[in-house]
Amino acid sequence: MTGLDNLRAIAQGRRPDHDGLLGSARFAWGQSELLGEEAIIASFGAHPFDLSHELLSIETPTGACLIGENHAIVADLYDGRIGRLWRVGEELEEDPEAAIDVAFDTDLRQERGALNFRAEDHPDLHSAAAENLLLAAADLVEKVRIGGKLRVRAFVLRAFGSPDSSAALISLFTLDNETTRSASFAYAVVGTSSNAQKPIIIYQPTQARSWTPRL
Amino acid sequence: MAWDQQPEVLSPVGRSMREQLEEGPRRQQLNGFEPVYRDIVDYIVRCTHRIWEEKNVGLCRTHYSDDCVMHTLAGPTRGKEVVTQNTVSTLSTYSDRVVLAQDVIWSEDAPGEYYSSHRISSRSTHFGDEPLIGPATMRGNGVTTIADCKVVANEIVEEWLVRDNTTALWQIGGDPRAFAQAAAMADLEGDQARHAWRSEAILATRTLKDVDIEVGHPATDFANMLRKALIDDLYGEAAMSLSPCAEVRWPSRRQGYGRGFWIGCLMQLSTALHDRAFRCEHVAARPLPNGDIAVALRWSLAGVHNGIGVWGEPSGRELLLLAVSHLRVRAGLVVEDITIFDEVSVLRQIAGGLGA
Repeated sequence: MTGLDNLRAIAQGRRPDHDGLLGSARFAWGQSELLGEEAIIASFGAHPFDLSHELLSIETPTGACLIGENHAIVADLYDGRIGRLWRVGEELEEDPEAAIDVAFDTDLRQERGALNFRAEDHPDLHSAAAENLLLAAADLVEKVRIGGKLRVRAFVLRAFGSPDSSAALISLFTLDNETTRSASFAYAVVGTSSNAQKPIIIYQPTQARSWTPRL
Repeated sequence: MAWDQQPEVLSPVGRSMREQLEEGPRRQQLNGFEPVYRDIVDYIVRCTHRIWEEKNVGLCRTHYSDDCVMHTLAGPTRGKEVVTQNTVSTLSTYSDRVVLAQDVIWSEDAPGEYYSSHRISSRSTHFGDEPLIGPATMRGNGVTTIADCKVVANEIVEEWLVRDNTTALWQIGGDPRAFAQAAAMADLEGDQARHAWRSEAILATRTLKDVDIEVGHPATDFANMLRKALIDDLYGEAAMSLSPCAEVRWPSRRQGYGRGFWIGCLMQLSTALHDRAFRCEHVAARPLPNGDIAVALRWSLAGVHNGIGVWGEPSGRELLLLAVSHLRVRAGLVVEDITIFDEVSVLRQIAGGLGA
């Protein structure tokens, strides 16, 4: 079984063969996180990931990604087995879990930078693929900013692929431009393919919760 | 022993539980250990499985020493019978608890003396009543714990346990402040000498020097990083040890990305605590798949609660914090920081508990 085979099984709420989903796996979807194979399979069983319009699928030694029309899954791989998963798009409307918010500066300088990326973090990203992927990520940032945000910053968490096809998982921080600002992190996935005319972008903003930097 | 020797002793990262529990010959010399254990990582993962999941809790009696001390921020316990009884009690409440080994970062600090830093994600159902929390809620929970153990000849002789208790309480509908307040009220009754451990621990943090770290050890930069931030207030310089996209996961569900977010977490502590003292108490590091390095740092922080901030109005009390950080290092920089401390016990000190 390849990493993508395992991902497709999980997408349908099926347990992959041969420990294809590690027992200790973690799964992020929207603002919630599930721990362990049992909870992950149950989540996909209740909310299957539609594979009927697969736009892009990529697998490298350390990562895999499936992108559909409005949603995507990204996985960390260890010999094809999945250790961590992110599902992006088509999020459930659930009350955000309680958390301590953290006041912070995204930039640490006056010259603002929209995109945070370190090539060494992504050994499975071919250098020729990085440029297109980063352009796609920058495009996403700009689109979200024009939508009325004061600040939009992208943190590239996972990126892998070849010049033919590549994908990145991004955490997008947004700060609203209202009198009372709301801030949130949300995941996005961008994909590029030599078969596609333009990059694929999957992004769904999360519901900002009340800001609570205290316990 | 150098941190990267014995590469055949593998981290649990990327391995299935089936692989981890496969029986076979020794991969590491372990004098005085049961024959079933293949190496020190296997000892930690397998004995945890046998005790918690197979419910052979009595194995605590052969896996903890008679006078073992378990340090938590709620106070130490002593002896294997206490460990056994506490495990039975927890399992009667969270009966289906599975203990997912996220990593075991270990060192051999002297011949035959092992130190393991075991990061656990545990998942369970709140099936049973608890004296302090109340009736069973039947809610599911999943919480991160790091157990640091000193192990000699099949026995844990000392343990430092940190758990994200705020998140654990939130998940079952509990109120961390109310819980801390009730615990503090109970602490004020009876013989106050039982809280002497806390002032001794604060004194140790204030007077003892950092643990010696061998030259070239991967933890060196990261112990310095914490000191630079928490003591020198050079947050920006400290954060240069992180990737600009580092994932930061701190207790009470603080989760974010980047150097600025990491600084924000540290500043929450520095704002609240004045006249701070920091001590790095132990470090370990091990190779991970794909060339990454796992670094474990156990550290303590003492300071006077004179600043308004994350814990509310200043109490003026001197507080103690015991933390463990697990860092994933790639190409020289931290790409993931998972730091755990018991923030409920911090609130408990603020409320005057634990002898504060």
